[in-house]
Amino acid sequence: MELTPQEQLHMAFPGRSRQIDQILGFMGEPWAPTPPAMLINGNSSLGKTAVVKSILSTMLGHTTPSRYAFLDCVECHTPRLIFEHAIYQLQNAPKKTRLTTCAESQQEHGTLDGVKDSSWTTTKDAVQAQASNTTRPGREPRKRKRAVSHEQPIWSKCENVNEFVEWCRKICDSDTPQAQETSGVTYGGSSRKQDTRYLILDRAERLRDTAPALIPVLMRLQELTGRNICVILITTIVWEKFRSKTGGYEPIILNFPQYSKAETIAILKRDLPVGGDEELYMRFVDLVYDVFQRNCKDLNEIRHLVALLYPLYIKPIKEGKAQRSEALKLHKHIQAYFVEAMDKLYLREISSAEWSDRTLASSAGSHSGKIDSTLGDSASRRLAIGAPGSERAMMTAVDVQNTFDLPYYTKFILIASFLASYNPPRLDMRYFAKVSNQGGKMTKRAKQSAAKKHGHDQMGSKLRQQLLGPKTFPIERMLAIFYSILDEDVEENINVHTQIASLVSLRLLQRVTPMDKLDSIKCKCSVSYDTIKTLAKSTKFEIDKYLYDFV
Amino acid sequence: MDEFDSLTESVFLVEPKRTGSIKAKGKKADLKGKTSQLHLKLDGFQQLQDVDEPWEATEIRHALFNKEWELMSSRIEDVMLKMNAIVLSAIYRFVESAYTPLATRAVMPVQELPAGLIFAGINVPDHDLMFQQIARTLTSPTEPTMESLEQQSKSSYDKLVNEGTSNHVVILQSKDCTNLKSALKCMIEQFLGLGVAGTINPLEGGMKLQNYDMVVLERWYQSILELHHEQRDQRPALVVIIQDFESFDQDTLQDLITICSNYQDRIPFVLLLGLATSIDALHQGLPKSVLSLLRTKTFLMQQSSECLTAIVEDLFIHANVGLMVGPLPLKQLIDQFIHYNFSVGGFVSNLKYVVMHHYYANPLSILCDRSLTAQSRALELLGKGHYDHIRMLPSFQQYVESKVESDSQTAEMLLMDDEFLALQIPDLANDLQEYHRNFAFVFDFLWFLQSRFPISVLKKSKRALYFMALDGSLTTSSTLTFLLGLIRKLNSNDMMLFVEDWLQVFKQAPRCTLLGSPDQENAMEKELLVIQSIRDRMVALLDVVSEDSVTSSSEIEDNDATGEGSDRVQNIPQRMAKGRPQRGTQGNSTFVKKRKLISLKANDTESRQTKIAKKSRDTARLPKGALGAYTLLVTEVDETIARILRTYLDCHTRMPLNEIFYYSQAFLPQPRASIQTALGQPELYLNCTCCHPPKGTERTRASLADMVLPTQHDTCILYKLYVECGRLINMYDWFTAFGMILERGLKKDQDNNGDKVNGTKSRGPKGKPKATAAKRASTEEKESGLDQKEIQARFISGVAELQFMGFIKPTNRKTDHVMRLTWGNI
Repeated sequence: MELTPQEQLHMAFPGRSRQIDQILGFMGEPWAPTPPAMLINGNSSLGKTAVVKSILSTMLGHTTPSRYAFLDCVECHTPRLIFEHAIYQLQNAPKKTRLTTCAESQQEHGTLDGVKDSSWTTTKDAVQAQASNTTRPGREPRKRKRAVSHEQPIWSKCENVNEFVEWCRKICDSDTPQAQETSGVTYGGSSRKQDTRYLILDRAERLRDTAPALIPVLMRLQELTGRNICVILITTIVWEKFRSKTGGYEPIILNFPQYSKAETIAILKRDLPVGGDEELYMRFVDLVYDVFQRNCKDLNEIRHLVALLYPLYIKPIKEGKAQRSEALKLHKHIQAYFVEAMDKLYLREISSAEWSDRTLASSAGSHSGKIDSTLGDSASRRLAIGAPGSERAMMTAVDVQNTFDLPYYTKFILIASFLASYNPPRLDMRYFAKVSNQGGKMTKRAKQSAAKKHGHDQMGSKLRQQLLGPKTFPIERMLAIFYSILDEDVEENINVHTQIASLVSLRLLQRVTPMDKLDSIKCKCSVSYDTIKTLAKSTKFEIDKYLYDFV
Repeated sequence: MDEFDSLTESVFLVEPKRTGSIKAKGKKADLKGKTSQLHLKLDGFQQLQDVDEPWEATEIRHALFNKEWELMSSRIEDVMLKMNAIVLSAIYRFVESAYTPLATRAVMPVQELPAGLIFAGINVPDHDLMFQQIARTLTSPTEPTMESLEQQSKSSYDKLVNEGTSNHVVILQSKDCTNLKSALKCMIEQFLGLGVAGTINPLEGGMKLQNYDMVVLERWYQSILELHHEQRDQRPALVVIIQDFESFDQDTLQDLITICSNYQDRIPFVLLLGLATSIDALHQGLPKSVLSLLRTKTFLMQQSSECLTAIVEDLFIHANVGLMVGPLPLKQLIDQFIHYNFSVGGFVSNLKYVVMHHYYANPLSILCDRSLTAQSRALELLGKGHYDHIRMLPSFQQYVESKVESDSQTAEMLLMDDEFLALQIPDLANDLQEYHRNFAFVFDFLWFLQSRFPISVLKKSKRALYFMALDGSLTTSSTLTFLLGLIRKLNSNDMMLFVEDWLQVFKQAPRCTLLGSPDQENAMEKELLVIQSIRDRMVALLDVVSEDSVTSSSEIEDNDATGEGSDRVQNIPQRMAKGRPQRGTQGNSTFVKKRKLISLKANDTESRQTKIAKKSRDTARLPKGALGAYTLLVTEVDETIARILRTYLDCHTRMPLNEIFYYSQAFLPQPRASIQTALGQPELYLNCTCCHPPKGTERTRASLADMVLPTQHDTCILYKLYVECGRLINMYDWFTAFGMILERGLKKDQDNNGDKVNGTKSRGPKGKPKATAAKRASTEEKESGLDQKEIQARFISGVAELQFMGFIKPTNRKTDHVMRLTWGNI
């Protein structure tokens, strides 16, 4: 049974039939007039890009030169790049002349905005085919260079909008009736001269920064060129944010809604590993969805989690400890991993490679499996920090987190800047003056009274610096605190200042004054309280004694 | 001078008038040119005047400096390479396997970009070298091993690049990548500039591509594939090293990563991110959408403090270099490292300064040469001044004094006869080298002792131990007594094992002295004999007690005969290097095995005994008579070790002539202190006669510092007035005070001038042009007072100088005031 392209697309994208029909409706026949501009919006990983891409390649993928240009606005970060890439794509054959089948779109479908192409082998072939088209290996480089310039597709220069409009006209007019006949056969002979050209801009929200003036132009490109051109913007934000002050043409807005549970599971079903047990897999997918959907609406994240957790789920079965039917037992087994995945994997504290290395290593290490093995694993690795060489190299990201070390005085510089950022300057005398009539540091009672004096109580005041974030401080004040909190006498030398500079370059301090102003530098401390606390601990400095109104 | 009378211009360029014949000038220049040429050749090394050094000696010092520094720097480089060898090869493997599917890796729905996170330590300037090393490793076609690493460091960079099949590496630095355009441009240009043979450059040849367009890179990469697709299926990866992640503009980086990830299907990118702080930086810098594109893997480079220890160990403890660093400078070097920057690069450059300074300023440094022999040219070049310098060395004086009692004739000869002294020098230098060799070895032994006992708290690093040894406090330290105490507490079984290991360690002692005469007996040989005898006696004693004494002892002796063989001996240094307690874990020593056998047999027979009884068995088994002998032996062991440690780890200062080989000057610069002294007490620097306290008043130097003398330099006067001011200084008050002081000086001058004809006012040393001085003198005579304008000019120039040095700064709060910036005297 032969499926029509439309049905194929419906098959390939569960839950997206309506949108596909809509877009196809707007497109109509290849030569049919289209709306001048469309805006497709919706959250990330809802299949916007993939749907548009596969619609175009299914419907128009056969015609040469290409009827559509697909541009990524991150890559095309200047107007000129947009123009030139568009012209190039419209003048040459489409990149992939393959029908998006179910199997392939499975790979392509849910990719996160950005990772559009995936299947490695096919593209590799394509690249090589293309490469062999363009160049031939030869002995003498000079000769080859000449040959290359002949054979490689022409790259046209286009610097501004005017030229681009001109180019668009030229490209549209280049359709001769003969070309029509060869290309448009599938849709029956055409009565109109020109096919519609599509210009798709992915991640169009970037246009607002890189080329704000371009948006109104693109909106009425059809009008300006007088040709059949349709501009499709794909974005995650709403159209209202694109509007310029001067006004402009409004595109047709097409929203991609969130997937429902059934749709999500239908999509996840397509990730079923080859030769896997479908029933078991579906049960697992269902479980993952229920556990994670509250935190994670992103389809790709769920796919990511499923891909990483499924091997662990079926591990007891493979090891012969559980039967397929023992759902409860399997559930209990995977529960512990869920917890870990929730805060490590989801936040990408460890990457997929490290995760699978870890979990697989732990399963290889001990058959008792389960969470204690992974915990024990990391603990033993943590122990190995001191040992040089291979153990260090093998440490995972989690273990690394707190191992960065600073030189001794640099630690104090950082602590001093933290104090300067969070303590009010008026209390500096009290905390840091070496000779004080109170005999040293402020007591807790003095602290309380000081707090009361300034009109708020110990805990819940509105103006606590801790809640307001770090305040800027002049470097001299920080240095004064630095010399005060150091027990030993330090000679002032250039090293202290170079350390301040290097802390700024490490983003631990934030310089507020511009770089060209050398005098009276002001900084902010951008380090969290926890980091400072560990630093202070390592230098045996009691930071809490010096912090005003801090919890 | 009308031409300089201008309202708008303040500075004029006055060229010197051309007078005199050019010929005469030429001659002078020629002579000067010769010396200056010599100077250039010697990098500015100068003849030292105080010893009347011949040029040749200067040349020797220069050559020695170069030789020494080359040796040191190459050793440092080797150490650094070795330290990171494991990580480097891990990174290499990561890049190699980045695009080959692994069985263990789960199939991901989204293809992630392989990204290595390299934690390279806090000191960013040091990273340049490290990342270049990584880049070099990655471009080489084979996985790095220790040997190839060493070769690599010697072979040139571009030699390795032309291998087409290897990876292509570029390094991006934040300074080149301020925005996305420049980042892409930088990356693409570097790739194209790698000079891979046979590739096309899409930017050339009629194509109007822009140099930040990824299409350029794509085409270039296709042309590479073209070249190699017949040879093998594997495609070379393009490695992008982002060296200083923290300093990058985060938005740029996000886009760059996104673009790389977009092109991943066409170009196999591998990212290497250099992180200086922690992984938090990555999570703070990149949003989730970008993070999820990366498949990260972490690599930790060796911590720089460990690198430093390794360098210190290699350069100084195992002293194969000529120049050593004494305790004070070493402390400064290490303090700066630990307290301030963690910079190995900084340490190395400071070290270079030390070496340079030693050979530059010390006339005796011509003797500071490892290969110094009696035939050396350096000895012939020694002059009177050199000998005087040698005789002034404290260690030499000590040496002579010790000789006075034993051999007064030699002592006298040493002091009086230059030629005799010259003959003695090579021997003394040789003794010092012998001392180093023994020191290095016994130091290792000490390290071995320390690592043999599981004491985590009291363990000291090699660096700390070495520092104590330099300081001279090691031999009396608590560390040694503590270790000796631990040895005494060993039970008989462990003691036996310990003595055995001890013996093995000492068999490794340097046998032959390389340069010394053959008849000179090696100290370590003697020690070895002592230990051997202790061991034999102990074996005998314990074997009498143990049950199957006959077989084991005979076998041990067999063993002993072959013990000199290489296999057993080689095991020991390995074990020492690992630095772990080794209760026969590897079973290297057959003796250990035997001991275990014995105890096994014992177990069979005494299987009913409880565990506690078993533990106490060893000592309990000793009969009473043997116990006494055993105790004596243990005491002997203890004493021998104590003696060995105390003798050989003694401070270097007891060795004669050690000052030649040890650099022991402090060298941390203190610019502020010297500027303050110069301004406060200029007479210390200028050596002028004018700035003396008024006659008849007995004044100490301190009070002189407080006094403001009109003869002093203007800036000094201003500085002294400045010291008395508060936070804000009123310019007019300052000016008036300044004028008063000058006025006062003038009056005094005029009084003096009354006596002397034509007062040659000694403003010479203050750098005032004579013409103005003369002019001033004439005006003074006319107006009998200072010109207000001149005072003002001098005042302004002085203030400007103070401002330039950072003592004051103009403030907006009060326009006629300046702010005082320095407080206190350092």
